[in-house]
Amino acid sequence: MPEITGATLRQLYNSVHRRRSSTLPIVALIVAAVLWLISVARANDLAMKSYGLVSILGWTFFVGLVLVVLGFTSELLRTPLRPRYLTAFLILLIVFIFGTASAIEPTGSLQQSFIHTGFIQYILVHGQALNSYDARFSWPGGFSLGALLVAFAGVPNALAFIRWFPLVIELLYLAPLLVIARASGVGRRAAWLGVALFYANNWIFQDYFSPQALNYLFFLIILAVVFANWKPKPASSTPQPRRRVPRRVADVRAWLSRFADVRAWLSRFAAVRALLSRSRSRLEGSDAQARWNSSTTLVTLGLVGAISLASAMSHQLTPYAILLDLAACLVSRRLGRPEVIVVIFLFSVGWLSLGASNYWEGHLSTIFGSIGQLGGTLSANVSKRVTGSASHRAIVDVRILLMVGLYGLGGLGALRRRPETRTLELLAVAPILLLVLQDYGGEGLLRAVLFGLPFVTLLAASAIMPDLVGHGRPLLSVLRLRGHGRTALRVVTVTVVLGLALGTVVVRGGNDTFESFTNGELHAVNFVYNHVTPGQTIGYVAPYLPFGQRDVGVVNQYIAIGVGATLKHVNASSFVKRQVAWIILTRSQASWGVNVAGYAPHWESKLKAALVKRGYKVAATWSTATVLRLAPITSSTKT
Amino acid sequence: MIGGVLTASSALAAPPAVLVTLITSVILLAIRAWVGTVGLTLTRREAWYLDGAIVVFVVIFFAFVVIRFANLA
Repeated sequence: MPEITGATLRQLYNSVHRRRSSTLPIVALIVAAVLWLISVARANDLAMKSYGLVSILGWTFFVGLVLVVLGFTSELLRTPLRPRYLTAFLILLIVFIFGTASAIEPTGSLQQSFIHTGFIQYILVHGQALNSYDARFSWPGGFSLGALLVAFAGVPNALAFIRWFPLVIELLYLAPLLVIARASGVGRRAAWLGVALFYANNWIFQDYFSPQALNYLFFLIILAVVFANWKPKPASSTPQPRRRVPRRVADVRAWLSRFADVRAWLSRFAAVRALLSRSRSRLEGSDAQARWNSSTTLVTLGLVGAISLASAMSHQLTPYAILLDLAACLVSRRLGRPEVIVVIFLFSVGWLSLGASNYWEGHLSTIFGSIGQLGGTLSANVSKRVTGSASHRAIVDVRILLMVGLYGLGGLGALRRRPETRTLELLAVAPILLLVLQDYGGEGLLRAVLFGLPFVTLLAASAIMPDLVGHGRPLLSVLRLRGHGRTALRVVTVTVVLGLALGTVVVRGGNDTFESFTNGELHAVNFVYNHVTPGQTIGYVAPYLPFGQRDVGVVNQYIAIGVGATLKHVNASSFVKRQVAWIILTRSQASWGVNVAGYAPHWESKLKAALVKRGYKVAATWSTATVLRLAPITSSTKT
Repeated sequence: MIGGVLTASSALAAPPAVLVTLITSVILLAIRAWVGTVGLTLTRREAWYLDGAIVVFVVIFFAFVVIRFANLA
C-alpha cells in the first residue's frame, strides 16, 4: 500500500477544489470591475453634494467594493495562499479607492497639482528653476523629472499627468509594500492583510501630483531594500563582549551581594550594562545579517545612496523620515550598514545648505523656528482643521476616528505578536519625531502618520492574525474561540477591511466639492491666462481653482483669503483696492465658502453683484465659473 | 536637463568647502561600507584611521554648514 503523505493529501484536496476555487475569484473580480465601470460611467460630478464624491456614487460602487473585500478575504483564508489572486484583488481595491475620483472628475484635483505643473513648465521652457519665487523650487528634483517626462512623452505640458497620477503612484507603491510586508517578520496572511489595510486606510491625500508622492515611493523602496536584505541575527549567535572586572571590585561586589536588596540592585545594574555592551555592536550593524551576497548588497547600497540623493534634492521632509526609519532599523537589528544613515544625513543637510539656500537666506526661522514646539505643531495640524459646516466636520471626525482606530488596532497587534525584533513598533512611532522638528505648514502630522502607516497596518494585521509560532513571547495571549475561530476571523477581517475602505472612500472624496474642478473652471482659468497682460493681477477668493499651470513668475495673483484663513466676509473692496484686473469666481470656491469658511449660501453671487457695482464687467461665463474684468477707466469717469 | 537644473544654482558653486567636505565624507563612508560588506579585515589601526577620518570630515562639514547658516541667514 502506498504511503499517504501530507503532499499527497494536499494534491488530492487541490484537485477536488481547484475548479470551484479557481473560477469563483475570477467571477468576483470581473463582476466587481464591471460594477465599478458602471458606477463611474453613471456618476455626474456636477451633482456633487456637501459630502463630496460619495454623494454621487451609486449602489453599484458599494456592492462592487463589498465583493472585492469578500473575495480578498476568501483568498486570504484559503490554503494554500494564491499570491496572484490576492494581488489581483488588491489592485482592484486600489482602483476602487484611488481611481474612482480620477475616473469621474474631468480634471485633476487640488490647486497644488496645477501649481506643480506650472513649475514643471517653467523648467521645461527655461531649463532651470526660478530662484526666490517659491520654497518648492529650492527642491527641484521632482519638477526636473516631470519636465523630462513631459519632453519624453511629447505632450505640451504636465496637465495630462495629474488626473490619473494618484492611481498610478498608489499602484507603484504596491511592489515595495509587498516586499516590506513579506520581509517584516509577520505571518504570510498578516502580511497580505497589512497591505490591504494600508490601502483601505490611506485617506491621507498625499498622492496627488507632487514631489512628496514621488518621495514616498523612494521612502518605500529604501525600506523595502533594507527589509529584504537584512534580517536580525539570532540572539544566541550575537557575541556578548565580557568586560574583565578588577579583583578588588569583584571582592567589594561579593561582600555587597550578601545583602538581598543590594544584590537585586546590582542585578538591575548588570542588565543595564549588558544592554550598553550590546548597543555598540548593534549600532555598528553587526547584529544584522545580510541575506544577499556581498556584490548584490553593494549594488543595492549604491541604489539606496542614489535614491537618497534624489530624495534630498526633491523634498524637504522625506529624507529625514528615511533617516529616522533607518535609524530605527539599525537599533532593531534590521540594518547592517550604518553608513547609509550618515550618507542620507549628509545629503539632506548638504542640499539644504547649498541647493536650498534661496529658501532660507534671510529667514532661517522658517526652518528652525518650529523645532520643539510640539503643541503649536499639533494645534496647526489637528485643531485648526476641525472647523466648517456639519458635513465638513463629520468628514474630519471620521478621519480622526480612522486613525485612532488603526493605531488602537496596531497597539493590540504589538501586544499579540511574537516578534524577533520590535522593528515594526519602532517604525510606527519614529516618524512622530518629525513633528518635533518641523510643522511642515500644518501638514506635518499627516505626513508623520503616512510614514508610519505601512508599519502600523502590519501591526494591525497582526492583531487580527497573530503568529502562532515565533521567536518572542506575546504580551497578550491568543484568544481561543474553539470551533468558531475561522468564522470569527473571516467576520473580523471583512468588517475591518470593509469598514476602513468605506471610511477612506468617504473621507478621501469628502473635500471634492471644493478640491476637484470642472472643465468650466479650467476653461475660465485658461481664458484669463490667454487675455492677461504682463503686470496685471489675477484675483480669486480662495485657492480652490485650477490655477498656476502657466506663466509662472510673469503674472501677479491676489488671493482674498489664503489657505487656512477664516475671514468672516469677503467684500468687493479688497479686490477694488488692489486694482485686480481679472477675478475668477468658481463653483469650487463657492462650495469651500459654504462648507469650510461658514459663508451663507450664494455668497459668491452677492460678491459678483457687488463687484459689478464697483466697476467690474462679466467677461465670460460657464456653468461653474465666471470671469470678471475690471472695466477700463474711460475719460468721462476719470476724476 | 536635470543635471543642468541642479548645478545651475549659483549657491551651489559659491561655497566649495561644504561641497568638498560633503563629497569626501561620502567617499570615506562608501569605503567603510565596501570594506564591511566585502568582509575585508582591517587592522585596529586602519579601522581607527578610517573611522577617525570620517568623524573629522563630518564634523568639519557640519561646522561649515553652521558657518554658512550664520553668515547668510
